[in-house]
Amino acid sequence: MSHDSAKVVVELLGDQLSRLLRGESAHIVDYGSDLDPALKRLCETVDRLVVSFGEVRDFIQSLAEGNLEVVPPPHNLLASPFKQLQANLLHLTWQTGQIAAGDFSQRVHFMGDFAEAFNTMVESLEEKMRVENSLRAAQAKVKQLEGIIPICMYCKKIRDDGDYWQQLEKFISEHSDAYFSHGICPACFEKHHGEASRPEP
Amino acid sequence: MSKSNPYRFQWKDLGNIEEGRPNLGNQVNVAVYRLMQYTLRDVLNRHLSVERSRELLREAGKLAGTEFCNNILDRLLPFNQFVAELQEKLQFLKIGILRVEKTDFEKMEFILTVGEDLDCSGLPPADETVCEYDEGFIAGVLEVYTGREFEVREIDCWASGERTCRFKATALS
Repeated sequence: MSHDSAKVVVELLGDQLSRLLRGESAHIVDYGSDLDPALKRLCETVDRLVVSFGEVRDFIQSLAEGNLEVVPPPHNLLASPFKQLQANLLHLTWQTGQIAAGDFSQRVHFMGDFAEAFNTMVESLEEKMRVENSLRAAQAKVKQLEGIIPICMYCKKIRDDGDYWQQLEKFISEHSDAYFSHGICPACFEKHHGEASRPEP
Repeated sequence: MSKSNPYRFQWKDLGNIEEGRPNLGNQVNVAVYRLMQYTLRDVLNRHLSVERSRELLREAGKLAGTEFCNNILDRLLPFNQFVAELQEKLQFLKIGILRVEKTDFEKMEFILTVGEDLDCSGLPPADETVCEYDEGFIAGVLEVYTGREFEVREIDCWASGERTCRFKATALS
């Protein structure tokens, strides 16, 4: 191989590498067959770099457009960090889907600040859901005590849905979270125990 | 143990480690685990074909996954909670970081990754896969949980810091 021919090949290789550095697409070039073995190896290496670079470029372009399902180029080590990014995004997408479906058992680990923010969000959503459920349950009970309640004008028993007359305190306890603690007010004490409690003259 | 009564693994064979190693405890260097696994692979390759060795390692992994699921995991949990528990146990036992990428219950097909894997993280990615044991382990876990036979294959691996392996699990029946 002449010195001039070698110089042309080296310039072609330089052009190829420059295109990659500028972020442009490069294509396999025919460097000729009469190459020095060392130069031939260099040409083959640059060809592999051109192919790998092109694969990575297409892959990351699809990812950047939100196409998470894009198939990553196999056995391409240049793509490794982007494959990790894709794996993390796919995992987060799956996790988000589970959370949207009401599964709060999911947690993200080892993704730095994002993992902490994501897990805090899940815990907040779980707490919000718990509070909402409690409120709904409380509202359901309150609604049971709404409306007109039939009560006996003498003994104050209440008629339930089964046409059964219940003690006032039993009825309220069964239809709410309230419980009764029995005591005696001063007026009733005087009425029922007044004679017995008065000191003898 | 004899030829007529060959050894069969049982979970209790793991022994009482706390009692048996009062001073050294139950932790061991990852390199020691790999020393056992890769020397075993070496010997298998010398006596059998490479493909047969891989099959046996996969089969051993499946037995491990089956026993792991039967003895460590709660099989009655709904799938998502089961996955969350599996992730937590694998992390706690420092086996690897499991992440689910995709679940398709119609096709019964799952795609997941394992990072910082006990078997292979730190090894440079190569054309030759070394994750047959992992493939079997995942298949064993899924088979016990679903009651269906699974084929699990490593479909990609990469290293950006640690090595991560991506697996595709598909129900066969």
